[in-house]
Amino acid sequence: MSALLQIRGLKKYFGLKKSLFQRERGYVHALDGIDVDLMEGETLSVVGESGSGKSTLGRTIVRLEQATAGSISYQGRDISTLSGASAQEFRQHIQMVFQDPYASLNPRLTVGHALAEPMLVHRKAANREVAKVAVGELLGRVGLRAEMAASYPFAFSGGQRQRIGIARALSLGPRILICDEAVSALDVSVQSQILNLFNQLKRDLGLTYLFITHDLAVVRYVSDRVMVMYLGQVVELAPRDAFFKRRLHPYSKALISAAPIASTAPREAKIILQGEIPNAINPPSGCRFHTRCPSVMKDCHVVEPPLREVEPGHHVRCHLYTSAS
Amino acid sequence: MGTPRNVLEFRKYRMGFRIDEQVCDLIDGLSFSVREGSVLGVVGESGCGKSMTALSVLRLLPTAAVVHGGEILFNGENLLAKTEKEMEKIRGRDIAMVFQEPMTSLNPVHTVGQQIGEVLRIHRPAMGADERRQTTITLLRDVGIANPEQRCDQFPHQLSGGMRQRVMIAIAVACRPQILLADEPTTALDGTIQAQVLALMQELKQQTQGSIMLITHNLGVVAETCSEVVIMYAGRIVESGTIEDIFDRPTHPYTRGLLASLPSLVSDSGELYSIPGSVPTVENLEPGCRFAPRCSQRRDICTREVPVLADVAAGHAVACWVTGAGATP
Repeated sequence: MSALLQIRGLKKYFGLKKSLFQRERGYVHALDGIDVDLMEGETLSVVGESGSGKSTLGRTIVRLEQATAGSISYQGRDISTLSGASAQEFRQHIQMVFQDPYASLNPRLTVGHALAEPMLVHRKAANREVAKVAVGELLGRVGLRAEMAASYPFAFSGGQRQRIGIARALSLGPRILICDEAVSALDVSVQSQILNLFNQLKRDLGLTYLFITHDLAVVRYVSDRVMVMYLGQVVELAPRDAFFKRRLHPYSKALISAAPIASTAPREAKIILQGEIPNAINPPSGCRFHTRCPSVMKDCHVVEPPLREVEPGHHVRCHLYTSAS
Repeated sequence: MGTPRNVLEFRKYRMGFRIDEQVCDLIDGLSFSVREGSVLGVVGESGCGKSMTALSVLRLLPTAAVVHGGEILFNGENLLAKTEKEMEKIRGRDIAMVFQEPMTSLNPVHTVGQQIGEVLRIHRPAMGADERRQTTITLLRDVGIANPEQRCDQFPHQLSGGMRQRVMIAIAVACRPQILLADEPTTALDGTIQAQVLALMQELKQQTQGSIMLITHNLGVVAETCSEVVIMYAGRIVESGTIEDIFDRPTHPYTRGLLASLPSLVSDSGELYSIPGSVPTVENLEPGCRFAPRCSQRRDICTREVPVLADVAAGHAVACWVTGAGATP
């Protein structure tokens, strides 16, 4: 497997509003030095709570946000600085599925129109007739009927709208799909339909996924690898099985322990973290997790731990594992 | 007397909505009860009427809602027969509610101290201003807010989502209500914060000996916090019982389907089961069993006649022609 997407030292700071005559007052450190490769054909899940930067990561990759520093290479070519025609050409390769299927479809366009538009803009279809046939195929691929192209979004249920959102993302034949909380707004019985659809599309089309979610059970179901983010940094990156068998970072342990399980089987006592997620404007010194960490040590307050590979493919950013081996 | 009494009891409660001059039924013959000191979970997907069930108790339904019949008994008295004046006395004092979205349910132009104090001012008129402030600070400390003296004078926007939800809970428990209605209290919160808030609710329940009706779509939250569960589908109860009944011996095809469609956190799952189709809207409810169009075990009778909720074992009730009590194999 080769790396389809290489992310190196990626930073995204959002400037806080400044008043007249004043320099910028500060920055939200949404992404602070992300290094990760997205391998061809894998599903990499990005897990984290609000403020972790997981959505910003997805948005920066598809260039909805401009990176502050660092590089994103797609098949060896840096895409973080593309503009004009080359940026448009690149957009075909990476597409995004958003969380809210109600908000992400234009209510005044028929589904057929919404799906045909990207194909016409990108000249994937020569004219509306050709596009119409392609739309029918797309709808079939996501489990809808071709004649539904004539309907408006309001006529569809939440699950159907999310299928339309997926069809639109697929319309340009992308290699990578970035799914930002793509099943979070759906009902349980519909969520499993969409998860199965994602898996089926991956098999049929050989897609690569960056799957952004806060739901760890979903992560276990869809992922090949798991990346945990906290306040703009990667704190753990590991193959799925290794992660669920033996996660290392205290934050990863707390996240899994906090997730409620629909079963009456007895569980280990929950690790309940104290305090709140700190503000990303002034991230804590040293290890960013030290303010809430149950295993905090003296060094953690001052020295920022590096992201280290402690087992093959298993990276963790924590002083507990720095001295080992 | 071994069994605790019912604090809240629904008896054949029915309500619906006025849509384009027509009245569409949603909740149809709802009967269940919340026992003293217990935590009852009401579970269902969007549109099943679980939030309307909670709002019905407080008589805070939207204007398009129409109540057709039945009773909601609180300590044996029918809430539906109370006057608005009488309801005002009950709301916040005997029955309190925690809503999902703490940002929209707190008033942005009043400090959190004023908002907690308001409940006390209304329901404890004898309390003086100084005592009220002290009680407010104690309440904030009880719900786990650090520096309650300072937080008391802050506005909701100065607090994080988790802290706002703690303030909502402080308002709700200010008068030590007999029953707390919690409508998706942790859905808008992050995982680690959700765990904190759920632990807090359990702790307060232990202290006050009150009852909780927890409305949620999250089966994990139910399994970890409730003692009994009611599973609703499109305005009717399809199954009810203890936690063990529902999670270890699920019987209704909908309950089984829901549990089978959840990915697991503790083991690897193969292809997930999924219930075909989607939840019907209130205008499109079927005669007979409302789950029938999506049910894999459907028979002819299911589309014609409504199955009755009946016990399959003591305390475990199912409404289904195929898997229920009176089923013919």
